[in-house]
Amino acid sequence: MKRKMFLAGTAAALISGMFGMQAFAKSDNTITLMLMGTEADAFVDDYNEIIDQFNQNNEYGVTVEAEYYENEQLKTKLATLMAANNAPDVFFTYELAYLEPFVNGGKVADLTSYLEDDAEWKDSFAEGTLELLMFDEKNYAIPTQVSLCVMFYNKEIFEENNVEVPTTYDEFLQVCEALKNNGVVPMAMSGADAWIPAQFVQQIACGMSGTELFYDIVDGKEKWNNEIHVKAAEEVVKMADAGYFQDGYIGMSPEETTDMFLNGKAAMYFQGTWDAANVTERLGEAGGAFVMPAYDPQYENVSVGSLSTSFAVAEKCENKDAAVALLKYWTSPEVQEKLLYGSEKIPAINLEIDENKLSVLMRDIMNICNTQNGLTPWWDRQYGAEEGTEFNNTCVAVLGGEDAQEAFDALQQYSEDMADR
Amino acid sequence: MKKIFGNKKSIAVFVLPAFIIYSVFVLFPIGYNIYVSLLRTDLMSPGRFIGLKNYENLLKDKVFVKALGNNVLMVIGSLIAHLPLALLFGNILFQKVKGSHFFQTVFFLPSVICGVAVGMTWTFIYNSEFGLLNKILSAIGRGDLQSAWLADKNTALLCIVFVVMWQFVGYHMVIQLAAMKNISPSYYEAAEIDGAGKWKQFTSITLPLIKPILKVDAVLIITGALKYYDLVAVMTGGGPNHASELMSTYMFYQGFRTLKYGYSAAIGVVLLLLCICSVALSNFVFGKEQADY
Repeated sequence: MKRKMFLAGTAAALISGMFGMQAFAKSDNTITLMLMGTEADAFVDDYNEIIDQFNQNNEYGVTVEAEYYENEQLKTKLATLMAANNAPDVFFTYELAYLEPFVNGGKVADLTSYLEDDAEWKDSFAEGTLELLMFDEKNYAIPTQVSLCVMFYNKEIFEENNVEVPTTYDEFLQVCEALKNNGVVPMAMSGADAWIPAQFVQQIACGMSGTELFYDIVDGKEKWNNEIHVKAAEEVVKMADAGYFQDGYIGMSPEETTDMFLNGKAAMYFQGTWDAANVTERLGEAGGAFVMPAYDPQYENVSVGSLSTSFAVAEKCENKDAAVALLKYWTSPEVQEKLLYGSEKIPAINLEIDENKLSVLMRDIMNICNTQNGLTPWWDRQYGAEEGTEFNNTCVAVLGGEDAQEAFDALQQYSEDMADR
Repeated sequence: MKKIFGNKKSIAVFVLPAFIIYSVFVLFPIGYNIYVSLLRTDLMSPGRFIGLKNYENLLKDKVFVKALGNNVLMVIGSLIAHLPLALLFGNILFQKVKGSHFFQTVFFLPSVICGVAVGMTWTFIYNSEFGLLNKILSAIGRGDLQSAWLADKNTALLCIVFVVMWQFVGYHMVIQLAAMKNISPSYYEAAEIDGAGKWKQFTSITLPLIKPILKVDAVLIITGALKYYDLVAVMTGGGPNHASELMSTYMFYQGFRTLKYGYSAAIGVVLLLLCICSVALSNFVFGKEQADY
């Protein structure tokens, strides 16, 4: 008898241990929110204020509980939670390929009806932003911020060396040459994270063919190893060989590279506008930005860019109305202005902008933003971790000395193999 | 007491809890993993049964083949550092040199530091701009050898293999040293009276008597090197362009980044098979018979 009780006790302990997590199930009045960011990011304070405001004033009486994760951590955690059907109610997401498997798996709530019911809300979004989060003509996430790649530059260094903001590709190379001859590092570049040189290669390719090449590849009409990609990568290699990037850039981490520019040790820095707040904080009035001039002048003002942050609602969220209310609040003019003027984040909605409230740098960036003829999303957003990441790897391989044609041929081969996996 | 332990039912009762835990956390996941490896699935949409297609693709996948080769290199590097080299260190300390306890601690220390911290430290050492290695090279007048160690596809993996060799040499040394200390000193006294030198003593007494431990150690070394993950994840993330990719990092990449869980599971199964083969291989190499004097 004792033995049986022991057995039953062990089994009970084991089972309760296994299902113990269920005890933490949240109550109806909270909405869990998963955000990307770390304590070091200045915008986290703004985010927390926004959440506090919402918690105090929402008509649903819900409390939002936010958790912040660093980029790589968030991707791993979200993938795991999704597979376990345990996603947070509202979560940060990238657009396009990143969100797609979650949508196909039925894990993401369809927000189309909410947008249809509130035409004012739907029409407030900037042109082309909602589309990046649509699958089968349904909306699965709401864009909150936009970003694009710009060439940040240090105005003081430009003045000291008597160079002007270049307007053509040749002028850009001349500026680099002049800066280098004066002993200044023309451009800070990082090779340790493959996406950084890759977005620069993509930008040069934009200057060679506008948005055409990008959408031809997406539509399957063009191949990865076409001559424009090869030529664009070779152009970047030429810049590296000419010494326009700092010594040892290939092994430098993004943080070191950013620091170089922020400390005034490099004149230019090609990066997404998400770094704008840092640049303003450290360089102040000296921080500026321009669009990378196009290799072929007819494709001026086409940039690498897309959404910066978007939020999606989980299908299993029990209080979708409240979750959508949070998204509406986040994309209200009030909050978008706060994030624009406070954290230098480009709004995803059409906004009357008060130039006087903008920093010098943000004035440049908003100007660039309003004059773009087209944007191509980062390859790794369009294709996710497959061809997208391999495109990044290919660019680094070329900078590391591999033949550009061979490297892009290998990428094309990878893409063809991938179709079968 | 004897009655209780003689009863098969009561043995079963005592083994059961451990067996249940083992089944839930080891046997079931392995079985499930083998099942998933036959599917094409992202674990969200319903999977599609594709038979051995994932394994077929693995053989054609250049990155996987590269990762497999890198793992072989890791196994070779680990074996060199953790068998002959660790034995050499262990044997030196076994000779009761002055401060042998101190050196034992020093050698053992790296293996108790967490892998991520070791990875960060060595990332700084290998840094192309302010790294210790490049500074030393320029200080001794060989600045021409300076390199972006972890960013160069030719050196990235070798640099990591070296760190693994350094990190665990003390761990295996301590295992082997413990085995040596178990040998009765009378054998060595007898050998010395018979005029056997240190080398002879080592090959005829120490080595045969610690062979069972070496066998276990070899299994630990090989399976450890096959499953290796943390340093690569911290130091290079498998880059540049997959040059330092290992099977485990590639498995993570295919699972959590491209959401090809079926494909990722197939890599896991290959890894499991390789580990089992390596155990069989080391059993074969070290033989079954035990020396006894």
